[in-house]
Amino acid sequence: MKLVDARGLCFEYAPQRPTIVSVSLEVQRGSMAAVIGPNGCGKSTVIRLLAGLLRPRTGQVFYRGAPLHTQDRRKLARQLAYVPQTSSRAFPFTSLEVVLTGRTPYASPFRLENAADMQIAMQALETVGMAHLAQRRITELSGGERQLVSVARALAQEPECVLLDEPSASLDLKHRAALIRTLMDLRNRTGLTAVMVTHDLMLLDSGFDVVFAMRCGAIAAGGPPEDVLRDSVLADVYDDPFIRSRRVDGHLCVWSELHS
Amino acid sequence: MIVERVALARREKAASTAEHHFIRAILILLVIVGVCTFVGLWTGYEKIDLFTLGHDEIARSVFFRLRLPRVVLAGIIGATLAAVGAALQAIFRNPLADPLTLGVSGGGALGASIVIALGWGIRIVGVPVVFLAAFLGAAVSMAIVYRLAHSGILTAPGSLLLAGIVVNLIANAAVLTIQYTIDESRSLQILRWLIGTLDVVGFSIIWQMLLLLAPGWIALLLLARDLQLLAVDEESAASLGVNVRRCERATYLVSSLLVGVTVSVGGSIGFVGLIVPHIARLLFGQDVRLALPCSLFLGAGFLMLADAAARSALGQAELPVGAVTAILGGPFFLWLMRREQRYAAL
Repeated sequence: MKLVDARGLCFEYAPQRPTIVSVSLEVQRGSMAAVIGPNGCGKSTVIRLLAGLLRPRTGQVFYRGAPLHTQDRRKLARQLAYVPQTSSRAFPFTSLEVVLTGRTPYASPFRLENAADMQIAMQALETVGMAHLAQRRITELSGGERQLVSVARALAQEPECVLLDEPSASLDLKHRAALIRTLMDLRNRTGLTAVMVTHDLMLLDSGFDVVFAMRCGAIAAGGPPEDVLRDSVLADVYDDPFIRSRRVDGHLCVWSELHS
Repeated sequence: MIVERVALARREKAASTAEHHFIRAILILLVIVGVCTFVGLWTGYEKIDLFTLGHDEIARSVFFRLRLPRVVLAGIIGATLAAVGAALQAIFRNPLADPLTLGVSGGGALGASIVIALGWGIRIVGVPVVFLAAFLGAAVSMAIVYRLAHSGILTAPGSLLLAGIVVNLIANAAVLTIQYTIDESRSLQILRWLIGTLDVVGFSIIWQMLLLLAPGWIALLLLARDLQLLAVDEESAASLGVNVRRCERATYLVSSLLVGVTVSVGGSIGFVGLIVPHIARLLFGQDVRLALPCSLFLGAGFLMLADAAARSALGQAELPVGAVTAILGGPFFLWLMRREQRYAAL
């Protein structure tokens, strides 16, 4: 069943300078999808369009078969969560306070979070391995730790679909893999659907069902990882003839040659 | 199983204390406001105690026509400025935001002084024109500051403050120009409230203010939940169902109204909206849903004390309360800037 269905999206931040030109993509329920591509090709814009944070100029995003922008935003937030690339740290909130904001779509307007919310928030922090930093202030956390707090906030929404904008950008080797492992585990246990913008091409092979490669605001290639992550496709997507993609011991290795 | 249940019970207790904590905070604040009110009523050129109040006609008149209204005025203006400060800091995600640093007070002062200069004492449906003019001035300067500072999607904290300070300077210069071109009595009138003073006689002006201020307070309290999400992160807030543009517009409009009304009566009293929300957060935590109502109470107490100090500091003569808050607030602002290293790059 199609959970996210984008048809013919076009978007521009400034007039006459299109960022997204006709993007169409489908994500099946319970699958993991990756959006890859060179810097500035519109990956983040696409994920924002899918999250409903931006309205496409033409085209439409359907979520569960209904147009996204006609749905009630608070109710939608119980199903669809979004993890931004960076998050503000103007005030020294604790990690737990940030994660608890993920419970607001469920809360009645004039109540503070209750025991159940608290437990779900702690559980979410545990899932991303951040429970020990629950009372730490986000201003004292490293970039990677803050990203994990953001992911935990999204998980506290108990969504069926999570959209992540480069969640692994400032994570170390271990935590990059751990994050994808967590998402895979949630997919297997709860049927979570995930769409993730990423530059970690080597981590896509075993966990992801579909990869969309973008170039210049359009989808250049889309399909299972083994079809998209090939030198011929990637060289074209990144406009770099030195890109190599090889399978070593069953693992996919992708790199760009320094010396030609 | 038992271990789990104990853990759950412990968490339940922790969660329910969140709301208990809130109620306790409000009770503590009520006591603080009560003490500040007492100090405010006690302080003054003429010592008034319960005995003289019962027997002396003049003392009674001084107490009920001058001192009590003045303390109440200080309370409502302090409460308003502090709550607006808390809301603006949240919405701009900038701990240095305040009606004064964002130029809102300046705009309000300009609007009010134009009306004073023209000598318009009229009312429109019971609302003094000076209120409306100050509200308009505040709203226009808020819109200008926001437009200037808003580039693309991000609002840079530095550019926001710069824009606010420049708008404030322009407004001040315009007020000065007006002051120099009109006759002396009106010029003095403008000068008096420009620095911030709380001279009132009787309660009539206070009732008129409350008619506009009370709905504004309620509106801010209703916005507190969305403001909390915006204070944490704008994009996340949007993805959690906050209509960011609508919340921003509502906050600007309500803030302009509140600041306009207080400025047109008390002048531009600075730094209350800056210091008080910080104290509230230090005492009761970062959550805007708590910090905003707490700022309301603390602001009332703070300005009542500042006004008591202004009335008694020089013996017989009286300092403008704006000078007291600026003397206290200026160094506090600098200290905050030093602490918030990234704003030092301004």
